[in-house]
Parts: sequence; C-alpha cells; structure tokens
Amino acid sequence: MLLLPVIISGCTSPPERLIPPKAPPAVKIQDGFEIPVFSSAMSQLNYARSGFTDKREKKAAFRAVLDLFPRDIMECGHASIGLAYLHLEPDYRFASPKTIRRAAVDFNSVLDRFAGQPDVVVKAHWYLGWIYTELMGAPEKGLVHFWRIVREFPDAPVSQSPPVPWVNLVSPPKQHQDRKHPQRPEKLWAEVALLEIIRNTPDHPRAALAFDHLSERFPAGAATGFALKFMLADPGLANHALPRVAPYLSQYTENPYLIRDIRMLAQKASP
Amino acid sequence: MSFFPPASRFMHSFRIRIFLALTLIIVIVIPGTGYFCYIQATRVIEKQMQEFALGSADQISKRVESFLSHHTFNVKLIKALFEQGLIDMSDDKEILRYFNLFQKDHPEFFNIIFGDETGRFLMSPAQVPEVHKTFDPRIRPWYQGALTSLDIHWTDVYLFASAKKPGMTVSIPIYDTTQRLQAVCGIDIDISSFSKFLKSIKIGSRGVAYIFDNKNGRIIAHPALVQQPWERFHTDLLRAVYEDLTARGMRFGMSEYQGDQYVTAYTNYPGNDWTVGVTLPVSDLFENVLSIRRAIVTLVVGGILLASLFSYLIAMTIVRPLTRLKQGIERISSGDLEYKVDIKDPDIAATLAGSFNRMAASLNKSSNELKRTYGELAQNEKLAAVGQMTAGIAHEIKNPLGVIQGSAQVVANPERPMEMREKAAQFIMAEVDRLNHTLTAFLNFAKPQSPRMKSMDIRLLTEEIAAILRTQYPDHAFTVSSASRLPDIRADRDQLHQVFLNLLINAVQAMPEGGAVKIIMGTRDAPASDAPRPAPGASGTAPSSCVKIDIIDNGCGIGQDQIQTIFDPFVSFRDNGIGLGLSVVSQIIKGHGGQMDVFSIPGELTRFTLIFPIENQANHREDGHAATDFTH
Repeated sequence: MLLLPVIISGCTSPPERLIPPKAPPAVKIQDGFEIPVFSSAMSQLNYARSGFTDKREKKAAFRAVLDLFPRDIMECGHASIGLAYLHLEPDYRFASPKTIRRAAVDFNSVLDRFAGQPDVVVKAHWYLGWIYTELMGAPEKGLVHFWRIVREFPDAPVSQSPPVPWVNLVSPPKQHQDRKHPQRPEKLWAEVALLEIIRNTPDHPRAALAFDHLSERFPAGAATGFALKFMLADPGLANHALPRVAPYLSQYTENPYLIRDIRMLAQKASP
Repeated sequence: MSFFPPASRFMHSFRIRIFLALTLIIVIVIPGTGYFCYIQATRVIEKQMQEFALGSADQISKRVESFLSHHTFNVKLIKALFEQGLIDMSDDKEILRYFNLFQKDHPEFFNIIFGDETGRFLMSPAQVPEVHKTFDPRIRPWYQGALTSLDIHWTDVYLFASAKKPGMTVSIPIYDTTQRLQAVCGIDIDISSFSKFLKSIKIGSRGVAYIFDNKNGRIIAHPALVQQPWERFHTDLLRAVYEDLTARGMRFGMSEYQGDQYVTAYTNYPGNDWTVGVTLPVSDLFENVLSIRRAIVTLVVGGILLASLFSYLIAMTIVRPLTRLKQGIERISSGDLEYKVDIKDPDIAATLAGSFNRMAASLNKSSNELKRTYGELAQNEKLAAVGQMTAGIAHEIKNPLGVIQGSAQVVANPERPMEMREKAAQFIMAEVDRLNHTLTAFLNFAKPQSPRMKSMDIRLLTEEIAAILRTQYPDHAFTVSSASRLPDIRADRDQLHQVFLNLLINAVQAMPEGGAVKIIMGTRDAPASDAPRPAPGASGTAPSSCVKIDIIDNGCGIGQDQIQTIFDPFVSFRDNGIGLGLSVVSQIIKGHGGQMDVFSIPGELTRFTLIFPIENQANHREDGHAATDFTH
C-alpha cells in the first residue's frame, strides 16, 4: 500500500518541458476553411498570396484579409485584386468569357472602392487593360486603362509579392542579398503598360509614339527591349524601331538572348 | 549529565547492530543497483539516439531522393512526348492542355514549364501576366542548366519569378530528330513540399528534420516552412548547432544551446550538395531514462524507508528470542529451575531454546540430586557428631562413674574404716560435681542459649574478670589496656563473661609457672582483607568498624597441627579437659556476629583475637586512639 503511490508518482511523466510547446496559432473559420490569423494585414495578405492548391481556400484567405483588417485599405485593395484575379484561375488562357467578364467587373469595382490607393488602382488598371486587350479581344477598351497608367501613374512600381526571407545557418545570414533576385530588374507599371500599348495599338503612329515615350523613359529597360523586338518583327513599325536599336544595345546588357534577337531582327529589317 | 545514553552503549546494542547492518546493506544495494541500471539505460539510449538520428537523416535523404526521382521521371516523360511528336511543339494550346493534364495527375508539381530558343515561354498554371510580359525563359537557371548539362538538370534552390517562393526546377533539353535543340521543359518544385514532408515525420516529440544547402547554408526545408509567411522557428538553435559541429568537424554530436543539450546528425544528400539534418533535444530521448531515474530514486527512497522498517522488525524478531533466553537465564539464576523458555520461531532460536530448556532441566535434576546428597551428608554428619559427642560424653561419664562405683563400694562396706568411708563419700560427691559440670558444659554446647543482646561497655567487663582472676591466680599478671573510650557493643554479658573467663583460664593453664596475660582492646577500621583470619566455622564478615580484643599470653603455645582443631568439640590437649571450652567460645562469638582468630608460636606466645561489631557507628569517636594502660 505504501509502495503503490511511490511507484505511481515515480513513473509519471515529468510536468516540465525543456522547450515549451508552441501555442497553437489563432485561426479564423472562413468559408469553411481554417485560416490562420496573423498580427498584421500585410502578413495576412502574404499568406493569402502564397501557394494554395485549392482555389476556394485561397479565396477564403483573401476574404479573411478583408474581414480581419478592414481598416488597412491598401491590403484590402490588394486582397480585392486577388479575389478578382481568382476568377481567371487556375489558367486565364482557358478561362470562359463569363468568368473573364466577372473578373473585369470585379477589377472595375476595385477601381471604385479603392480610388484613393494608387498602388491598388494602378494594378487594377493594368489588369483591366490586360483583360480587355488579351482575354476579351477589346484592345480599344484596354488601351484606355494602359494610357491612364502612363499618364496618371508614371512612376508606380510593380508591387509584386515580396520575396520570402531565406533562412540561413551561416552567421550572419545573408538574407538581404537573397531577397533581391538578381535576374529581375525593377519595373514600373507604366513600363509594362507602354509595352502593352505598343503591342496592341493598331495605329502605328500611336504605337511609335508610345515606344518613343518608353525608350525615352527606360532606355535600358527590359520592356524597351521587348518592345524593340516586337516592333522590328512588325513591318509597319520596324522602320521606326531600327534607329533605336543601336542606342538601346549600347546600354542594355542583361539578357544576351534578347540582344541576339534584336540584332537578328534588326538585320532582317534593315534595308 | 546527558539525557541520552552514551553512544558506545547505543552501538553495543545487538538490536541496533542488526538494524544498522541490514539498513547499510539495503542503502548500498538498492541505490547501487538503481545507479547501475540508470547508467546502462543511459548508454543504451545514447547509442540508440545516435542510431535514431543518423537513421532518421538517412531515411529522409532516401525519401527526398525518391520524391525528386519522381519528378525526374516525369520530366523525362514530357520530353519523350515532345520528341516522339505526341505533343505539337508549335501549338501553345496543345502544350498547355497536356501540362494541365499532368498537373491534374500530379498536384505536387508546382509548375510545368516550357521555353524555347525564341523566348517563348509556357507555364502551367499560368504565370502572373505582368511578369509574363517581360519574362524570358532563356536566362532562367533551369534553361541554362539544361543546355549546359545536355540532360537532366537540377537547379539550385532559387526564387520563382512569379510566386517569389524558393524552389528548384528539374529541366531537360528537348531535341528534334537531328539532335538540334528545340526547347527546354521542366518541373518546378516548391520546396515547401519538402518542408511538408519533413513536418509529417515525427522526430521524437520535439525533434526536427531539415535540409540545408552546403554551399551557402540556406535552409531548404524545415517543418516550419510549409506556408508563407513562415513561422518563426529555432533558427538560432540550428545555427548554433551547425557552427558547433562544423567547428568540431563532426557530423554527429551533442551541442549545448541555452543550457539544454541537443543531439544532431547530418547526412549528405547524394543528389545535391545538401545536408539532411536531424536535431532533437536530448531530453526528448532521455525522457524515458529520466522517468526511470525518477522512478529509481523514488523507489530507492521508498525502499530504504520500507526496508529500514523491515530491518527494524527483523532485528526485533532476531533479538526477541534472545531476550526471552535472557529472561529465562535470569529466572533460572534466581532459582526457578522449573522455568521453561517458549520459543518456536526462528528455527535456530527454537533449537537454542530447546537446548536451553534441556540444560535447565539437567540443572534442575542435578540440583535435586545435590540437595538429596547434601541432605544425606548432613544426616550422616549429624549422626557422626552425635556419635562423637556420645563417645565424648561416655568417656567423660565413664571415669567418674568408675570412681563413684568404687567409692560407693567402700561406703557400703561396713568393714571399712569410717575415715575411709567418709573419704570415699567425699570422692563420690566430687565426682558427681564433676559429672554435673561436664553435663552442663555439654548442654551449653549442644543447645546454646540465644544471646540476650544489650548495649554494654566491654572494657568494664574485661576489667572485672581480670580483677577476679588476679585474686585467684596471684602468680599471673593480668594487664588490660584499651583506647580511652571504646564504643559500646551489643552483646550478652553473661556469654561474653564466659568467653573471656575461658580464654583467660586457658592462658593461665598454659603458664603453670605463672606469667603475664595481656588484654589489649581497641577499635579498627579494617577492610575484610585485613581482617584477622576467621575462626574455623565462624560466620559473617568483619565489620568495617569494630572492637578488637587481643588476649596474649607467653605460655607454651599451640602447635601448628593442633591449632587447626582447637575449636572442634571434645578436642583437648589437657588431661582433665573435656574439650568443649573453645567450641563454646567459638559458638558465642559467631552468635554475636563477630570473628575469632588464633595465632601462636609454640614456646613463646599465643594470641587470641576477638572482633565485635560496635553498637552504633555514631558512638564511635575518634578521640581516643591513645592507649591507656590499665595495668594493675
């Protein structure tokens, strides 16, 4: 009788743990999915932007941003863009006209709801321009949005998802170097908007005007190179592009394949 | 003065010794056994820990290899589809349809990509459009790597352009029938899938498996990296472990971090320049050992307490029969030879008790026989004494009777002259007196009267007797000397009168030509060893404070052969003696609780020493040791 409690107390697991168990993260049940709740709207948005195999779960994650952080307008605007783009997933190239129209409606709605958020508005404009020109075959409507970007948001950077931080075992970690992708130059929305204007404007003089504007602002940009390549391949625009090849190649060095393409096309287009 | 018994007495306790011995054995054996078990368990766990960590890392390495080989196989399959013409390379829609089908079957493929020499790029699922517009596949690592290797190529971990997530790509060049490069296809792998896989592996309860790039130390996979944004995890711990093991040039070892021990095993991943690491807290594996240790410690403490209790009870069990034996010995020593010790357990004590009881029975029997023999001896001695006494009486009576008979015949014969007949009548009367005296002496010896004790001054008595004898024996000088004040003694005055008269007359008779008789009286504080030799048959011991009386004459003395029997009855060395005087004296002295001794040098002196206890020690005053001469 005396020994029994002694043995029982001696064989029980220790109450203390060397590493206290991590508290389970708070979760929000959103549309039937458990969405972790983060401390900031940006973290919540980054979570929603991360990879999901289930489109519905991704949608719930974006909606959670709107629900959890309604006062963070910019993040809510990007979440709304994410929700609008979800109509086109998993592959916009196989999207039905109906879903494309829904996406366009939602992007237009974003323009109305987040008019005071330039980062959001410029992106919405670009996506509307892209949807109209590429997915709906209505370049005249799309070009309007691209030109608005060029005029109203000439210096707005393309704010893609922030790169994930590297975790490094070597002290001190070189995370600041890793975050910057060496192959990706900084881009502005106006840069890619002008490229799309050049590609989709049926009026050659207007396209040439857009190229001049592009090459003037981004003389060594990748978009300028792609525009040159496009124009050199188009007989209606090649003559306008040829004089700009040499100055461009004298400054641009990043993509040897693009340089090679431009040179080949310039040779072909040369009289 | 201490309230506690001395330590030596405590340690000499048989019970305590047994208890301590048993407890000592228990205290040594139980913890010793426990410690040995703990050490063995620790060694086993350490070995198992190494095997477990290395085995886990090895298994993970194999699983990762298997996972990646799955991608390798499928990218080869895609290549084959292109090269066999089953997919029209010029038809973007067809390529994308196939890619979508692949992705449906293999959701683990993050992206399936295609790029050609013109810069055409197709990806399933679709790339983010703003990225796609300026995207050139030809400068991407997967494309360049495939061109360089001309076969399967695994990129390092890099950031995907669209998702900005770290990943890696397996790519392969596609050739036409003339072995001219047509395109490069590949499969992107989101390395968070490694992390998901690692998360599914249980490494102890708190262990972690991870993969890092040897070139730059980047963590490629970790259970915490399954979803963006990444959860915080113990990067500092893994970094400290990495630096520790790297500094020591080890692939397996224990490292300390923030006071805790961690065990880490690194295994090279053969396909890439990666390392699969497994790190887990030592306490994780030692948890069971710690439980065992706790249980052992608890059991040892409990066991010691319990065993001490049992030891005490066992000691009591062992000692209890001995205590009973001790009680039995005491009872038998006190004379109760009928006492039996009742011990039934343990067996050896029962055997001992049986032997003891047999010994007691034997002792009882011997005692009874001794008593009986003693009784017989006493009876015989009594008979012998009666015979001896009867012979003595007969001897003492026979002679006077012979005289009386002859004298009576003379008195009865009228023919005798009157003077003769009167003389004969006087003889008869004298002999009758003698017979009377003899019979009185005999009666005094045979049936001594009980002394009637009274306090008395023995010096006065002695002086009275000496004065009488001076008158009767004018040729002898009687001197009495004593301390100024002798203490009183309790004695029968008449009996002591008889004692002194007998001894002094004996002294006179030893000096027929006259001489000096000295009576020296005093007190003494003598130990028993210094006391005079007691008279044969005298009882009692010399009192520590007593009155001593020496009666010394310078007569003929007593021979050494005679001195041994002078106190026996009917022993006389004179012709007319009946031999009862000194026997009676001896009896009287014994009756007074005193002692009597005799010392003699034949032809020179004889000294009788009498010792009497004083009446009251308080009456004894030490102021009178100076001798006072009462010589007259």
